[in-house]
Amino acid sequence: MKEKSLESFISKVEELRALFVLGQRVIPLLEELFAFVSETQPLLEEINTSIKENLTKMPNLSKQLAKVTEATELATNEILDIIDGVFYKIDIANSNLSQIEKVHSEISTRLANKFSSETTETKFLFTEISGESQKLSNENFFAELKDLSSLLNSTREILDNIRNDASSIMLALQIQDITAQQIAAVNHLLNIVQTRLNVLLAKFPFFTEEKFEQKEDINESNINLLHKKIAFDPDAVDSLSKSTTRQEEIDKLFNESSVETPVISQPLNEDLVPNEIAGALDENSNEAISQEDIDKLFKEEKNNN
Amino acid sequence: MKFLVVDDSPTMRRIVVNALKSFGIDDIVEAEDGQDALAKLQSNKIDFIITDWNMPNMTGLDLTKAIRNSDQWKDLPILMVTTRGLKEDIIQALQAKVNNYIVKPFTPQVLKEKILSILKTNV
Repeated sequence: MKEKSLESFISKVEELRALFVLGQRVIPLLEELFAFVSETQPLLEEINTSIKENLTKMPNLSKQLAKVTEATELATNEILDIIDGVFYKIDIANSNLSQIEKVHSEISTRLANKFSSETTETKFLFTEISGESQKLSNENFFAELKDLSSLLNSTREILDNIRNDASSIMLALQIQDITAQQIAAVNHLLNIVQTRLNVLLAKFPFFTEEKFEQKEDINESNINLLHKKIAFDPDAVDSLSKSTTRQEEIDKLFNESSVETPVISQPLNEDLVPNEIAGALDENSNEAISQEDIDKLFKEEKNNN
Repeated sequence: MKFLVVDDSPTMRRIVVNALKSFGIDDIVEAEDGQDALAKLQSNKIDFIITDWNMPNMTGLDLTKAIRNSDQWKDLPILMVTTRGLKEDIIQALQAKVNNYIVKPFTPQVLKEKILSILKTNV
């Protein structure tokens, strides 16, 4: 009986010894773990501070983006106002040119008739012509009239060029809409980051001890409310550099499509079609428009209907 | 012939309207989103719609679907002018039955060609 108790006692001592050995091995590991945690804590606190700082900066960032959008919109509208002014002045200049051309043409015709006929009226008129006018009746007069005509044509061409340039500038201003959408997309991403960081902060108990101070006025901390509401294309970033390629691809897709797009059941009243458009329609009635792709698709669809 | 230009960006509306005027189209109504466009359709006899896609309240795609589902306006020509150029977007637009599609930024020539191509099938 005593032998068995002794064996049991020795076994217990062995277990105890093994425990001590394990303890001796584990202690350095635990020490390392404690050291790691103590080293990590400042890092985590730093991350915490950094997150809080960035969270407070985000509304400012959003405000700045909103200002950029507003500034570009304002500038674009100012440019558009100027272009409208240019168009208006071109119209006036064109109208003046037309009047000059009309008068020039009438004078040319009348004088040509008068110089070539020997009617009494002509003779009478010749007597009425002042010394200055007589000077005009020399051989150079018609050449001068011709020069004036070409000058008028060249001025009209210049005005047309100015109009085209102004139109190009106006269309280049589409960039304002595209950049506004890009900025709105960035703002949306900022909002997502802000929301996720807030969730992250709330999940860590030691972070919540000194909670990120949410301003009472939600309008000042919620990025979404800071930026003007703009519906945006999240992929608008690509739209500047690849628009031509993209349009070609789109035309191709429309060509290949078997989806039926509606054709107006009642034919349009041709009288209502603007002259320039109607003219172009007549011109193109027997030939394909330059973008063959589009025509193919719509011809097919018309046939299907 | 009356055109309806739908875009939430006043700048874009102005650009499209100016381009249309340069083509000799002067009868133009403007709307700032899909809902506004539907209201303008009620109060005007519109012959042609040029619409953006991304708009608050009602997108151009939803506007197209609403028009195609209506008895009154289902045959109205719709030209979509948008920054969206992904294949999925075009397929969605085709399925919604837009008559044609232009990606921004566009040139007046492209705008004119697309309008012509739509009108050509209808005049």
